[in-house]
Amino acid sequence: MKKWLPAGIAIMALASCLQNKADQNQHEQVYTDVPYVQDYSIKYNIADSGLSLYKAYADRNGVIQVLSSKGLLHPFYGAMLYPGTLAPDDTYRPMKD
Amino acid sequence: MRKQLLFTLILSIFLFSCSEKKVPDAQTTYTDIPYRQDYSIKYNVTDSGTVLHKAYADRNGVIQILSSKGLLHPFSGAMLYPGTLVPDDTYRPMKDKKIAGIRLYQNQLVYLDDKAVFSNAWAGSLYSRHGLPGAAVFAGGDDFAFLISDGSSLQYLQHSQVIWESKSSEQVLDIAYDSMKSVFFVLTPGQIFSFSPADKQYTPLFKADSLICFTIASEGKDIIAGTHNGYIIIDASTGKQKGEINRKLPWTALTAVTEIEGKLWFGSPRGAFMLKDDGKFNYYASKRWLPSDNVKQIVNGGKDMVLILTDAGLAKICFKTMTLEDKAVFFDKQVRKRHIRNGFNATLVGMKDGNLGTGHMEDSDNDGLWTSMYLGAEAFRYAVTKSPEALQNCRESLDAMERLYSVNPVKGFPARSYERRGYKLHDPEKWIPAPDPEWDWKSTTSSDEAIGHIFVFAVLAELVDDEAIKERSVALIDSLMQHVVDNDLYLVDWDGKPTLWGKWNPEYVNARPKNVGDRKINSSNIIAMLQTAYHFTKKEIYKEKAFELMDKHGYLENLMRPMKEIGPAPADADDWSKMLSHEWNHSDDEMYFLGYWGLYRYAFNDTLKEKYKEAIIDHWEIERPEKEGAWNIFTALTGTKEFDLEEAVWYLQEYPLDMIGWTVRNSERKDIELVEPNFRGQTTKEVLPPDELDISRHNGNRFDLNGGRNGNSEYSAGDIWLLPYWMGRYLEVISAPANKQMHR
Repeated sequence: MKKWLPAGIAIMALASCLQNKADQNQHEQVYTDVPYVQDYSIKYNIADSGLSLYKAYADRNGVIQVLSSKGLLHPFYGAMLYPGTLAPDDTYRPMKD
Repeated sequence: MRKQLLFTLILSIFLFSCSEKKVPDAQTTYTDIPYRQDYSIKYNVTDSGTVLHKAYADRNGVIQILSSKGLLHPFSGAMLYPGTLVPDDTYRPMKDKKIAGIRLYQNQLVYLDDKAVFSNAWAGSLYSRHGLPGAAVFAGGDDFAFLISDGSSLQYLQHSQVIWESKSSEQVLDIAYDSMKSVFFVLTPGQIFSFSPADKQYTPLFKADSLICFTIASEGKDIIAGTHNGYIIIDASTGKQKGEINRKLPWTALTAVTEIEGKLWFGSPRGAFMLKDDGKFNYYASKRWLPSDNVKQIVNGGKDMVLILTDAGLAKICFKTMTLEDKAVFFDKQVRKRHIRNGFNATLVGMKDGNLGTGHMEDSDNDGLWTSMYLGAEAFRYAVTKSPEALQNCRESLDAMERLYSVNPVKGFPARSYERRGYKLHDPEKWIPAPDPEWDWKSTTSSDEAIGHIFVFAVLAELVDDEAIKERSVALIDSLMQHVVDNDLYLVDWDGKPTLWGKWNPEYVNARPKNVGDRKINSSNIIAMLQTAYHFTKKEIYKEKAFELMDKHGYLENLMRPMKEIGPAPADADDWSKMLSHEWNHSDDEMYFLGYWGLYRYAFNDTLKEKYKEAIIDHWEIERPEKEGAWNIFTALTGTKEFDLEEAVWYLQEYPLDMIGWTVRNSERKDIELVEPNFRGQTTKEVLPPDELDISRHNGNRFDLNGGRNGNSEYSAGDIWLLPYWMGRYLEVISAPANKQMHR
């Protein structure tokens, strides 16, 4: 029963290929739009120019912390084209001291 | 042929997936099909002196706001991260125009200044001159004709020709155009007029007091007019009022009305609301939804978006098509990124006005309890999906729970919480230095903690196929329960004294009058705990103790006592019992339902199991008005057919994505039916949806109408949402997303 599944999908794929063939013949080459990796950047600026940034890491949860001359920072907001900021990370209170 | 094949394929996969199901065929399952989830993106004005007039979005999604400081547009902004409204300088000449009106015409932005009606659309070709330098109100008709007004005069113009003009005896507030009947409607405080461009007839249509706003609705059949006290439906052809004025609204002083995709939306000084098909309203108020409750205008923002302009900024109310599983993914990120404190499931507190860049994670009296509920969710998730992330989440939170036992020197006694030395937030007197000088631990552990611990250790031991986790969980159950048994059914603190709430001894439990809830809850919980301990350790002592309590001390009778008998202690009762029973205890509900896992699943025998089921269903019956998602799902563990699955799904869908503790006020709403004060604290006939109430955990009263603290905290979805969802998935009363099932 389970084995039948890939066969079914293969038949359907073949059927749909055959149907499209006619249109494609008029072009010598057609680029098939397969996914590719697009890079982009989300920037986080320091709000205070006197700050030195030392190290940044992201843990398994995606929590990012930046060690700076003013203690731990974390990124706040930010999206592609809309830079966020690095703000003091006070989530664990004892870390400040 | 192809269709037939596809159909067979789908059918086979469906049958195949059904045959894999393990759970009772008697229970219905909710198929997780996509639904519309609403959320808000707010844009605040940065300068408090700016007055916002109107906002529109064109066919490209370009949003402009006309303000006392010219045109503004939204900048940045996302859900939970408000953007701002900044000057829109994209078209440089606009700065120097005295723009008094903005409107949408053929889905393009059109402006009215002291000289003309004009636009930057249509290649800039629209520039229709007029003769009313003070014009501020306008609407477009057919073929670029516009009816404009400065409040006291009206002009109808086309291609810079004034075709008709007239004085108005009353101030013109607004103009609308019905393209079906080719007629304009003009709103004044006391009347609505119609203007027909064909025969230039300006005719009174409808008379009323205090008209504020209006819109054409129902494909031109009706005019909806908002007043200072309710709204009126008017037949747009005859000018006759349809029915009584409608005043059963969240707020009756109306400032705006519009129809979007067949739904009426209203604005008021107390938020916005949309009339649903069932005659009730979706209420959008508080900073969860709006920069301010003072709504000035509501307008279609394009596909799946409504714009609400307030005096403090703009809100985009977005409707996203998603499944419950999508929501679980969203909430998983929320918990993992902002709510894990040393492995505990914590609240982010001390935030400034909901700013997620601020705040810190608090220690809680109930770190063990809240974490047990989140950890339970992750265990159910792992049982269903075998996700390695879920398993790791389980390990990390189990580490935190386990350390509650090792951070303090008392054998088998869990701390409430721990924190690095000197940083306790709450109840300084309850904190004790740990043997490790880096740490303090919180004493006085309560029965809430104990039942949470036993619930989740049992779930882990039963459902997570990881030997280390199983062993550790069983060891923790044994450790805690051995402590309780060794200490005569008390939880005994570092000072050798029982904690205030950790008391399951008959001497304490049966000292409460029969109708006082504590007698029932403590009996129910301790039997569940002893059964669980026996189930996993097979140590006779736990079974013996449980039967001793049931047979000799009436604990079975106590736990079976119908909920309708629970109430205030009689007049001759002791003060403690009176204090305990002055109102319904919603924390007890939480303890009961967590306890039902062990009470029902690990029942010593089938006779008891049937009895427990009866007690659970009896409890569920009394909870039904609250539509509490978790209690409905927990009830499903008994295999009962009826457990309000629909209401559980409603709870899960209606819970807001924004879990910040914004201040909400519902008690003065005019669309709710208040009931007489009562023991259960039920305030209204029907409970309001979670996205209109304060964010509250499962120990809250869902009938609390007001609450929140100005966005100073963000709750974790771990216990509130993920527990009922993943438990529902585990019990197979909620399916995997419909599209995923097909491919599994």
